Amino acid sequence: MDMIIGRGSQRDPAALNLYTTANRTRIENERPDQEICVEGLQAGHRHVLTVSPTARCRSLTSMYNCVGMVFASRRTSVATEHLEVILSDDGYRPVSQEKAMEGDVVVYRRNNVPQHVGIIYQLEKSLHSGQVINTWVLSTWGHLGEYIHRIAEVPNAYGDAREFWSERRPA
Amino acid sequence: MSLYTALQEVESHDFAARLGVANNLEMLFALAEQEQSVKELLALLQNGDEANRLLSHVISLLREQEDVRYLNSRDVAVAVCIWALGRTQPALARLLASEVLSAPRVWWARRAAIESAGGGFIQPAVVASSSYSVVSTEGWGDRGSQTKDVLIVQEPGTELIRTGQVSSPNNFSTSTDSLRSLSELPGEMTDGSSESETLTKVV
Repeated sequence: MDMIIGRGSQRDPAALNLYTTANRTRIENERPDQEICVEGLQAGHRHVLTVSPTARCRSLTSMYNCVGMVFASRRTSVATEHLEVILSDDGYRPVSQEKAMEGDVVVYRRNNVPQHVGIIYQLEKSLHSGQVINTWVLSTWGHLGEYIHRIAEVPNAYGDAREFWSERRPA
Repeated sequence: MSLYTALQEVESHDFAARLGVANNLEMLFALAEQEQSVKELLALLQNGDEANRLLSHVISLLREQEDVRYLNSRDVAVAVCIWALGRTQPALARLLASEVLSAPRVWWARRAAIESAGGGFIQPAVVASSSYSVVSTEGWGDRGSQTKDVLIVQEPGTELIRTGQVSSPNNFSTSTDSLRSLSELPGEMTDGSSESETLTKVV
């Protein structure tokens, strides 16, 4: 038996034809054929809660990863190495944390390499001062499911929430 | 810790969950390195006998029939074993990687296998160059497209057939050492055939 490995590439019939909007750069992606078994996902859920005790599970699925959730409508897995190309080609621009809004994208970096991405879900403000006291992020942890969690409560391997990006057009 | 104990931990759902937060292979292995059971495993695999036992064990895992609706529950464990063998017994890691490449329902393990093959740790001196080939596809696609390299792994039997040492059913081997399928050879000689060719059909 000869075996050709090219999953995720243009020749992979299971991969989605995913392109960036500006330069029509093809984004390699791979759709898992199977879910992680229920016991595995439940163990993952328990682990997430040890890292982020206040996290809430939105969807316990392993069919997409963080980049796939944010940029591919939860349909596939996209390697984090493509993050920068997607952000620049899709017209995202960096915004400061103070100016970030719900729906904007947060990128986690470790050693300056993008490791994780999520969407700002909620900016919890103090009724007294109006200052943001908690930022809640919606992101997919590996292939262990989609969680709403505090911005800083992520595995150490993801690094820090360093950047905020937005494609918003002002009213 | 014995190999058995280390593997029990590495194959557990909790272990897979701790590593399962990884977003890429590099992160998966970095997380693995922090695990006590993996440190023990790396120490045990310095011993060639233990490494062979691990190889046999993991190959048997890959052949186990689990619920086909789900990913292999030992997917992360197999990926870690390839990586651990790669650091201690590279030749065995390559053997395991070749098994994993044909295994169904694996995600991280397949990535680890491809990485181990394409990451520069296949040495022609150890694996015969004719048994695999890595084809760089850079520039094959449309301008600007990004494609992955293709690894072609051949079964030993295929290689024996290709080199003319063994003939396969429904194939003609010729004295010119070429190989043509039955459909390419009608009842009469083709234009490209020479009179000196002798044909043997194996059934």
